[in-house]
Amino acid sequence: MSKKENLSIEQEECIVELYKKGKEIANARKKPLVLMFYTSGDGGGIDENDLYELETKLDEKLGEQEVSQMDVCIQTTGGDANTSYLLAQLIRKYCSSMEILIPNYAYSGGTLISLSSDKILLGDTARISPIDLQLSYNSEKIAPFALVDIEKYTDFIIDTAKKIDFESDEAKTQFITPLVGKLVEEHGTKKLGELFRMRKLTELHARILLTDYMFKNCSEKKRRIDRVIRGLTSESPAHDFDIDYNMAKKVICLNIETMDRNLYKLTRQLTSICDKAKDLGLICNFINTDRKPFFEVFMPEETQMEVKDGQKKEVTRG
Amino acid sequence: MDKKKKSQEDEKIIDDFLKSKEKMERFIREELEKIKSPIREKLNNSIAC
Repeated sequence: MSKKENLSIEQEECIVELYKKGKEIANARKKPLVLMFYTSGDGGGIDENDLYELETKLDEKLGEQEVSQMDVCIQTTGGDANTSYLLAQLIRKYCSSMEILIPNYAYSGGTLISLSSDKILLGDTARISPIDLQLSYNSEKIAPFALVDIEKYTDFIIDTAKKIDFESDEAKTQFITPLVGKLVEEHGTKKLGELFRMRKLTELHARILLTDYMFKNCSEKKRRIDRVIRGLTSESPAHDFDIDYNMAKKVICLNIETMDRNLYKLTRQLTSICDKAKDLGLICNFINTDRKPFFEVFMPEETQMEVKDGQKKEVTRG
Repeated sequence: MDKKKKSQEDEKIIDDFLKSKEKMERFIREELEKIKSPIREKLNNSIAC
């Protein structure tokens, strides 16, 4: 559907409601709002193509100027690890200061993108997750498996072996070998090796984003970054693990705050309208087997917006 | 919302949305395949996060 005359009244209302709500948030915050809305559980993961789509949208709305401050409202269950990092860097090319708004959830790759913010603003019941890797098989119908699951399995073998009083080292080896063999048999040495090798990459991505953005001016930069990376990878109990505000702040030590009531309400309304727009076939349509994300940039209206060099620029569009 | 009673502002929002959607869909169909990373194409597995 693309022609106006084909739209129902409900669809037209939904489009207007969506854009007015986005603008309301941008006006309330007095800065541009970038919306990154992905569907969950039906092929709507972060994908390489998203880079070009977001770049096109940012260019269209912001041109080549770098704004002083920007908000990014995100909802995703994650996806391609490399693309998540590249999306974060792409966003930061357009602004010198950025806050991430998470009204509901930003899991995995979404959490990684959040590390490129100066501060994360979380809704009262919103969640993030570990950024640990999963290996998905493109050509086979096998569920993805996570590196942290393998580590927990090996921890289980080691802990169990310690609890059993073996008669000899040989008996202990006989106990451990088939359990490890089962793991290798299921996933193959090459794929297991690849997953462990790639963990270094995701840790590197997280380290770069935290160093350059979230903890750029932090006096205890190294200690805090190490703490965050451990908390989001090897020390997390599982890949599918909800991290709430308290855990993110007190245990993982992210730069994170809760949203005020009004912003929480507005951003929840915005994502609800996106859900409705998806159900009405307006956004997040399927291209082949993948659902596209919905990206939009909402500009604050009739206000003064700072550009990077400190000059004030009249914003008349939006 | 009565189609005849929509404000000019609402009309513009809908027009802009449809234009942007059409432009993006054309871009996806015609351009994206050309600029996809050749390294990714070679990989059988994808590393998700």
